[in-house]
Amino acid sequence: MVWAISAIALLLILAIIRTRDNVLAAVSLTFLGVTVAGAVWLLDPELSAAFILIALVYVVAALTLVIVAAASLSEGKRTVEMRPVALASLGALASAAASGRRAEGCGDLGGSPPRAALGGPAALLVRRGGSAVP
Amino acid sequence: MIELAFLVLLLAGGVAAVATANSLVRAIIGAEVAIMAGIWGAALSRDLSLLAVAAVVGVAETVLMVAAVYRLAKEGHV
Repeated sequence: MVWAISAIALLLILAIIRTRDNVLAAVSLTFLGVTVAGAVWLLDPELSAAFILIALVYVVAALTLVIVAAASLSEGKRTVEMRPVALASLGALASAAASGRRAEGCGDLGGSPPRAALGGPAALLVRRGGSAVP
Repeated sequence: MIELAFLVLLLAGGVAAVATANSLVRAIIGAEVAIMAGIWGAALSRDLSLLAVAAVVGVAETVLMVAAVYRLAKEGHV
């Protein structure tokens, strides 16, 4: 399962290195944080408080994003196109909500079999990726 | 074994992002990736207290770096 996480992290790191826009790199960093938090949760389901880690990573990425936006605005006279950044942030928020719901369900049921039925779309994506990449 | 490979991947990715940075903001992003390697390394011990300490230290370090960038931005170094 960690193979899929590693592949996603490698792609995100390459995206951070290759992109020319600081704001888009910060958004990629946000996705990378969610990926690492999901890897922590997959490593040991006892660490269901990894949702707290997701929240902390979000604080970090939001801080960086705000700073980057402020620096880009004061850097030059050109206008800043923020629409793709807003769409990407919405996607990150949706995936974080799905992960949080899954973590809460795990905490309530304590590892019972219907735990899989409570997973969100993120859980489905993670499991499908894990079965596709052995 | 794959856990250690993931740790090395995060470290190498962070260092590569810092090495190819053309602005201070990009250097901070690379340092964030390296901080994630630290959080993952704490998670490998399967100790929630150590994980929390690593996450809090990462946030504090981010705040310090952002404050430094604010300080440098007044002098036009961003």
